[in-house]
Amino acid sequence: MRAGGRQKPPLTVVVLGAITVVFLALPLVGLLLKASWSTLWTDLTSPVALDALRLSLVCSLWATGLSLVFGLPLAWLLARCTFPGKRVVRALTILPMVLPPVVGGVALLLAFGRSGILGRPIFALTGVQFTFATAGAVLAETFVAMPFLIITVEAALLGMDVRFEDVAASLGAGRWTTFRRVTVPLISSSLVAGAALTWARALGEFGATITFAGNIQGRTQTLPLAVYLALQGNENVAVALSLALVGISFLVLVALRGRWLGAVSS
Amino acid sequence: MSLEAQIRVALPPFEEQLDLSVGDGEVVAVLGPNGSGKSTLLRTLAGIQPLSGGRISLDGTIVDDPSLGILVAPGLRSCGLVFQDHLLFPHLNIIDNVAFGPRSRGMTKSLSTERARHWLDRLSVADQAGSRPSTLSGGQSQRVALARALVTEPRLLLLDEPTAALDVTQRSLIRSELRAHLGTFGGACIIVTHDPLEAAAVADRLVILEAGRLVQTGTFADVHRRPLTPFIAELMGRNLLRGEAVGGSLPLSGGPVLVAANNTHGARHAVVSPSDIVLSSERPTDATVAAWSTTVVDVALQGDCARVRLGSPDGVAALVPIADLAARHLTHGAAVWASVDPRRFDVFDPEEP
Repeated sequence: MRAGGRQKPPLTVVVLGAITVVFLALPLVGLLLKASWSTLWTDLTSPVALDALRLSLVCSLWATGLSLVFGLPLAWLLARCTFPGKRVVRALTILPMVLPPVVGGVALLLAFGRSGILGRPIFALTGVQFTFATAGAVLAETFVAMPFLIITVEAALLGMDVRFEDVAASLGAGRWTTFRRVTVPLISSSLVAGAALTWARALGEFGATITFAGNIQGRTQTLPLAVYLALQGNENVAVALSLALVGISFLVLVALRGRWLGAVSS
Repeated sequence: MSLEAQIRVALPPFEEQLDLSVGDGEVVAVLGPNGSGKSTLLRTLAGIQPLSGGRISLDGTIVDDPSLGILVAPGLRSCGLVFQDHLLFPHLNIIDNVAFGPRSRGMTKSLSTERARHWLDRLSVADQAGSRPSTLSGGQSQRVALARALVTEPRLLLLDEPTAALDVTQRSLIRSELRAHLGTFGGACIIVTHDPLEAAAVADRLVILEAGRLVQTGTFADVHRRPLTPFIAELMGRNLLRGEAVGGSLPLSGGPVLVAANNTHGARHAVVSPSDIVLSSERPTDATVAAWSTTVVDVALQGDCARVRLGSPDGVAALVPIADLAARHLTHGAAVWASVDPRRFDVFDPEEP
């Protein structure tokens, strides 16, 4: 018997699918079971945890802001213009997504570390250094998270009907007015989705941050780094902080439901 | 003349080359097969695509001339643009859509809203001012698109297939409406269409493009009577046969031989309507008709008639009652005799203006 024209799924597929669900769910269940709920509040409000929470929020928001300011123009260039080496540039923008974050951190050290290509002159001229500084954590998170914004926005720009921009131009709007009043509103849902994904990725950044910026409480120790360190000593704190991260990620996913999928299919 | 254009622009695989003048208050319909350069013409006039040569001037002001290095931006050349799917900004309501032009030109918000309301009123869509574009009917959204283009008071109005997005029943209604609105527009107007009926209903003059060249221009009646290419003849629903008059006769290539005046020489076009071609399985006995033998290439329904395409001359079609299809064995590949009363042919010299 067929219900709604749908076939009964093959048993093998059902079993494999179920195994996947268990595999994905079990670690979360582990966190929930292991959590010491009675001390959860004190664990989350300990100085280390509060520092990490605050720093994570600050750094991830900075990273999102920087990604918007610098990623949006690049996405526009990639979507609207042809220039030599465009394919290389596009590959370059996606590279941080596939690169192991630790490798990204090492590479950032070589570029922006105190003796790095750009880090050395910056330090010599201004005394500013990125390593062991909050600015370094921001830089590392931006490096890893920005691709999410660029590819989401580029896809939206490519999917958008450019004749809307032609109409705006014929009505007397300059390029900036057209961008602000027509292009951005038309891609707004993808822009929000891209920014949220970027923020979530920045929030979870670990490898590049610890390699490049270090692990200093209050300065570069974001939530994931604090979890890692707490795991060596106070496991309760580690679990509590992990739960906080899971909660945040889950909220972002729920808020984005549909939007991200819509952006991909358009 | 309001618009003077010498268009020279790449249109792969060839170059678009045409000269076009449109007077104030004149409505010109541009027709042509796909890829003939209709849209490119609009894009160059609107300033979205720069010319590679030639010149466009509006009311005596040069807006595009590569040899002089002049290229006026789309918004500064006083040119309204309406696309086939209207392209109302989905994130703005109707009044903000119409006010977009004046706002972008630096007018205050209250003044541009006032202007927008005036134009919505003129086009009888003022009641939709607060609506979103997605809630409008095809006709309403067309009027809003027109209002949005006209509110900037352009000297040149460009319409790209304005009724193609509408369904058939709406189309004729919108068409007569469009005619009325364009009648009050004082500037030059160019309307790109693939529908000769629309051209006849809305435009003062037709311009036909093929492969980036202007092949014919004139009123609908002119073009209908003297189509210069097989494409134009087909567009007008007619058949074009070509021949070379010599010594009192005009043998049409692939078709019958017509009688010509003794002193006529040179290339001639002979145009005949599909309904004037009679098909029969036997050679017609009447010696006064122009007859030729050919084959049936294709049969398609057209209203309560069948459009029968013939193998020679290439592309010629006859319109026969459906009842005759079976009676005369008019199936694909069948050998038939085609005949026409010679007086039904419009014969003319294509070189003569």
